[in-house]
This record gives sequence, structure tokens and C-alpha cells, in this order.
Amino acid sequence: MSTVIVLICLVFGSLLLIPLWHGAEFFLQVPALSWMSMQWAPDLNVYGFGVPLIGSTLLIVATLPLTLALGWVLAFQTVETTNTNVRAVAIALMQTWASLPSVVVGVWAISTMLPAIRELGGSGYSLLATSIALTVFIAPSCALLLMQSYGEYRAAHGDLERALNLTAWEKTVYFVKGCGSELTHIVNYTFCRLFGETLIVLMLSGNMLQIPGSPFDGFRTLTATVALEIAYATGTHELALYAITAIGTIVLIGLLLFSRGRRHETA
Amino acid sequence: MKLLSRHIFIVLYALLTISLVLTFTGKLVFSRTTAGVFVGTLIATVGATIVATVPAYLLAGILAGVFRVPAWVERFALMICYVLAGMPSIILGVIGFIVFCHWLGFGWSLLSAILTLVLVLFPNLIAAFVQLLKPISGRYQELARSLSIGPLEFMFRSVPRYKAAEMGELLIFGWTRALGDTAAVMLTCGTLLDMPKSVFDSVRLLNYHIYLLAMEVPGGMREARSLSFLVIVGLFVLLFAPRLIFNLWTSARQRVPFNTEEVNA
Repeated sequence: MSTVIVLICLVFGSLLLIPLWHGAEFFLQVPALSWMSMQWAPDLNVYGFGVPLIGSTLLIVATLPLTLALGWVLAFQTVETTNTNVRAVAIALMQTWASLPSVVVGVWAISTMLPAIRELGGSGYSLLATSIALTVFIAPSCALLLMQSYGEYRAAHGDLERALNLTAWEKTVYFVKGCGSELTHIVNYTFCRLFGETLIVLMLSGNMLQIPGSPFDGFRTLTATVALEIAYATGTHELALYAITAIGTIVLIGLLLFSRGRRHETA
Repeated sequence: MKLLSRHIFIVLYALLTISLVLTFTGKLVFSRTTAGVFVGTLIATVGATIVATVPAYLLAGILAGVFRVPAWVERFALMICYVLAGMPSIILGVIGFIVFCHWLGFGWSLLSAILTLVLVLFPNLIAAFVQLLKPISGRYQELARSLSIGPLEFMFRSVPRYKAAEMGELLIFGWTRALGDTAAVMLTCGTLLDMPKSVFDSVRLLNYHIYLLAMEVPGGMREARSLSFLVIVGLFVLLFAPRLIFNLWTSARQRVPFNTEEVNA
């Protein structure tokens, strides 16, 4: 049985190394100055990752705190409420949003959110629109995880909290201090979701190869570049897209193993 | 007002959900959607769920403690599952594109889409099966061992009999997960609208079709909304109907007039 399990794991695990293999081929072929530049022009044989990398970073910087904050507030309100009907409705709502396909959320955001953002300025396809849509989409998944952690924490420390008559803010601070490794895992999970989310980004970002000067400007992320160009890319261009995937894979594997290590240490 | 201030973000999500439903209601249009889209989607998602189930179930058996394996094998399996579960579907899509479309030569096809979806489903199904197996692995397995039932027989004969409804629910969960994933299959399934005649034919899956209608086809947004509505209704039925039927069935069984306690008394 051990051999079968090791074989299954090796098959699935080795698949993750494939983008790294192709990525290494690209990094050996193309000079560092080219892929570190700000120009992405496959026709001219220039493959600078700078602009999509900045796009991905800006999106994560703008969205991660919003998603975590909204997820926490949702989880806190759901766990703290004494009304069981409200709790049941809140959980059902969060589960519904967590199970929605991203393309459906994308269509909804284009229909309802873009016209409103267009009123504020720009074409609507922007960092702001993408960030809001991703926050609304991912916060419920994040809230479900936080609810589980906070529920366990509250079961252990709820009496003490009540005895000390803590405020919501104090409860939050004690929870963050008490469940550090669990929170690292949730932050990393949210990061992975934001980094990897492609459909909503493709539909709302405008996919412009530029560094956004304001929240109303369009931009492009690393994953969107892969999704948009891989169908027709050949040669070095194709290898460059695999290299982008390799960067993503390395970052995410590193983060996941780090958070797993921390959880293991705490356990 | 007090309720609103205390549950303001829950109310916000209720309003967002209403807005979502209202956006997609209206006259339904399916002029650019062929039967091939639905058939291809059904075959790809059901096929992927079936293919992913057995290896995921075996690995879940290890992680739930049904099979006894060396500690390093368990740690290795756990690490692979953890990393795979955190990988975004676009990365798994690129891996599927390289391996199934290029290396194995399946091209943009139904088969490539099924195998890519297996990659996406695998860690999700493992996590779900572990939750199913963990509560019964200790007590019931001891009993099974005393009856000379081995772990494989326990996993593949006893558990499905005892937990049939929950397993069905898990498989439906896997199916809905496969239905909801677009980024992975958009790189491997192709774009043809025709009815697939073999697993090597290119197909356009429903979610990707919605994306193309919304973004690439002039005037396709209305149909994209109609199809989104269909997807939401379908997911709702798949996610909640089995639970509802199971609850009704359980409560109906509990209401049977025959009461063993009364008989014993």
C-alpha cells in the first residue's frame, strides 16, 4: 500500500515541477536584463516581467487587507451573534458565495459594478473594480476559515472573555495573539487565492500592459498574461509564460510550506 | 436598526446576493449556446469526478488513519495534498496544457480537460474524504478488524454501505467544484461548439463559454447572464437538494410509529 501511495504522490507532486523545468530553460536562454525590464513585447523578443509583476503586487497589496478585514468582520459577527436564525442565514450566504464560479461573479461585476465605477472616472476596467470584486468574492471563503478558528478559540476562552467584559477590538487583538499560526495559514490561503484568481481579473482589469497611475486605471497581472497569451505563444514566448508560472509556483509552494511548518510547530 | 448595526456586513452580503440574483433574472436567451456545450461540460465534470475519486479516497484513507503506513509516507502524502490544495487553478491549467495537450499529444480535447480537472479536484476530494473517514476510522475499524475485515475491504465495502448518503454528497461536491472551475480548463478544453464525438474532440465548457460570451462576443452579455443564472440554479440544486432530500428522508424515518423504547418498556 505504501508503494501505491508514494507513487500517487510522486505523480501529482512531480507535475508541479514541470513549470519549474520549463521556467529554468527560459532563465538560462534569456539574459537577466531582458526579463527584469519593464517591457513585455514578445514580437521584439523582449520579455520583461516588470509590468505584470507590479500589477499582481498592486492587486494583492490593495485587496489582501480588504479581504482579510471583511472576512474577519463577517466571521466575528456570525460567531458573536446570539440569534441562531441570523447565524444560519449568514453561514448559508457565505457558503453560497464561496461556491460561486468566478466567471459568474465576473459577469455580475461587469453588469453592476463597472457602470458605477465608470461614473467616477475612467473606463471602469480598473484596479479598483478588480479589487472590490475580488474582495466580495474571496472574503466569504476567508470568513468561513476564520469562523472555524475563532469558534474553536471562543469555545476555549469564551468564559474568560465574558468575565473580563472585553470589547470587540480587544477580542480581536487577543485572538490574533492567540492563534498566530492559524492566522498565518489563513493569510497565506487568501494570498494564494488572490494571486491565482484569473477569470475576475481578466474580466475587470482591462488587461492593459501599464503600471496603473491611479485606482481607476487598467492593469495586467502575471496570471492574466499567461491565460491571454498561452494559446498562441510559441518558442521563447511560450517558455516566458512557463517562466511566469514557475515564479508563481515557487512563491506559492514557499508560502504554503512555511505556513504548514508553522502550524506543525504549534501543533 | 439595532439588528442592522450589529449584523451590518451580513445584511450587506444578503443585499449583494439579491443584487446577484436580480442581475441574472430577465428574459433568458440561449441563441449561441449549443447542446455540445452542455454535453461536453457534463462529460468533462462527471468524468473528472469519477477519475479523481479512487486515488483521492485511497490517500484520504492514509490521512484518516485507516491504512497503517510508515510515518514518512504519511507526512509526504500530507505535504503533497497541502501544496496541491493551495495551487491556483491557472497553474494547474498550465501544467495540464504542457502535459496533456503537448507531451501526451491529446491536444485541446475533452480528455485533456478531464485530466486537468482531476488535478484540481484531487486535493479537494481528499480533504472531504478525510473528514468523512476520520470519525469512523478508529471505532469501526477496530470492530472490522475483529471480524477479519482488512482496511481495503473496510474502505471499499463497509464505509460506502454505512455512509452512502454522505459519500454521494461528497461526490456531488466534487462535481460542483469541477463545474465551477474555469481557469484550469480554458487552457486545455478548446473552443469548439460542436457535439463531441470522442474524448479527443475539442469542446467548449459552459463556464468558458460564459466568459467568451461576456468578453469576446459583441452583444453576448445577455446570453452570458442567462447562462450564469442557469449555472447558479444548477449549483443551488446540486448543493442543497441532496441535503434536503436526506433530511426529509431521515425525519420521515424518525416519524415511523414503531418505537423500540415503547416496545422495551
